[in-house]
Amino acid sequence: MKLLTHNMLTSHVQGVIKGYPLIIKATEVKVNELEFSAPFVSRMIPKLEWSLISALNCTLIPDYEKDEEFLRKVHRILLEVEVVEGCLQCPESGREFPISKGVPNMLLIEDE
Amino acid sequence: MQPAKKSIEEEEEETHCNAMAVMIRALYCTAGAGMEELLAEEVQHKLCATQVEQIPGRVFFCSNADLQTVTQLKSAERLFILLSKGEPLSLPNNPGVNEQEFTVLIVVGDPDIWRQTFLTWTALQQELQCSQQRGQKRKREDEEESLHTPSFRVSCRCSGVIARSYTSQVNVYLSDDHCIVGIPLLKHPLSSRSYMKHNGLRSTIAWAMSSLCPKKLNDCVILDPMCGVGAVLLEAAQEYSNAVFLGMDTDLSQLQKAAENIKASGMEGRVQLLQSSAMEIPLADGAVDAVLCDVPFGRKFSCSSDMPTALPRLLREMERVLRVGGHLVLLLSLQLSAQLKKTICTHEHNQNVNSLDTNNLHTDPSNTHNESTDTPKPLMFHKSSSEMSNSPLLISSLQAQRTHKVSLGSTDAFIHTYTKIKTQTL
Repeated sequence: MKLLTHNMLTSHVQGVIKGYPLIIKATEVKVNELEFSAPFVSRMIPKLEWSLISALNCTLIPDYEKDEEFLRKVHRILLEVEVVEGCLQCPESGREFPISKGVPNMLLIEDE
Repeated sequence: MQPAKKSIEEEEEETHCNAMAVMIRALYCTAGAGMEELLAEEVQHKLCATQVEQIPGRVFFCSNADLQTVTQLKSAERLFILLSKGEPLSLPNNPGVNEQEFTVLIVVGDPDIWRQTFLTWTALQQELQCSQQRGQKRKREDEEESLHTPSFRVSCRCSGVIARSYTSQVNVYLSDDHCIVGIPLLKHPLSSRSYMKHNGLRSTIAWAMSSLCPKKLNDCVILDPMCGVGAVLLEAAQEYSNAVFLGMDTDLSQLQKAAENIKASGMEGRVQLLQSSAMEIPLADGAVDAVLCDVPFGRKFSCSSDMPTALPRLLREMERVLRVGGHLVLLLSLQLSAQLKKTICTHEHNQNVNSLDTNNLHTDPSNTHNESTDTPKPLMFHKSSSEMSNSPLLISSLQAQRTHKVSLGSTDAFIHTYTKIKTQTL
């Protein structure tokens, strides 16, 4: 699971009001090299919930479109870092969703 | 059949390729039923094609685009160079004339046209090899030889060892309305994608889904909540290099195949996978710009419900995660399409919103611009699903754009597009 995906995921356990953001508990993390595209990254930035990224010591700067070093840093965080094994925890209910081989399992059982 | 031997000048392959690049060629492609219009648009848009003509199952066009670009067409099945296209055959009334000989004479036509087309075909084969084998060793001499004097078979269908012993084939299509002769340019259909390791939905239909979306999907977040092996997402990813794609499925084995397809197509950065249910999408309201979905046709959906029962709930979830102004594209069977029409009842004129009335759950007659009085008033969503179990779920925030019928081979289906609009609800 990449951090870009995590930025969008929310817990939908019944009754939960604020299931976002999910708490990441990683047991295995990988960093893959991925082709960088500056226009792609700069267009994704406005769509993100930036508080999750700034929590990783990455402050949003003004005029980021022209700052390639900044965009590369964001690219690395969002697309190159991958949680391979671990789980995501709902901040309200505590329910844990496992991540296996990079794919988070968000399935709920019948009565959740 | 061998073409008349003509002395072919010894030219550098490079020069020959360059010369071919500016020639206008008459080509045609076969297409699945329902795809002809999309293919006609695609050749005009991507190849600047002229003299575009459609008949059922085929699209004819002229283009001077290089062959590499032509092979990138996404809505076509097979690609052919055109030999002739004419009026349907009508066999002579004179019983003295040998019918078979007559047919061959008419179909074969002018030998000069054949000669010219063979040369073009040969040159195109070289062009193909130019672009595929740059920097690699030169072909073996006997392969080169076979290109200069290709031998052809004429048949309706031919496969296996005997088919491989011929360089190519001539394809003849005779119907009540047409008499068409052509030579296929490639061994494999264009519709068989090199980047799909595991096949799911027909690639041409999968591509059609993003193509039919009312707005271009650049820089968008696109979701497929029942992605299977990822056919729809990957076709869309080929078209839109600046978008993010999210695929969900409950079935882990399908997701594993999707992961392999994503890797084979080099799209790992932009297509992400999740194991989750389309009935409970783990995304916030309005999180995505577009939802593309090939809804399974089978009657059995999950252990607790069948598809016709589940469809309204699925639609509700898809509508929820879509932002206002976002688009929904669905591929449905005929039967489910009928079900869809019963669930989505957005009134044509219900586009104006004065203010969101957060206290009132039901539509206030004085506020709506509803002009039809005999259709039932749409129920707005209640957040708790338990209250809805007895009353039918209706959706009024999805504006129908268009419906396009396609053939999936053994069955027909519809691609429906919707846009999410603002409504007077909480």
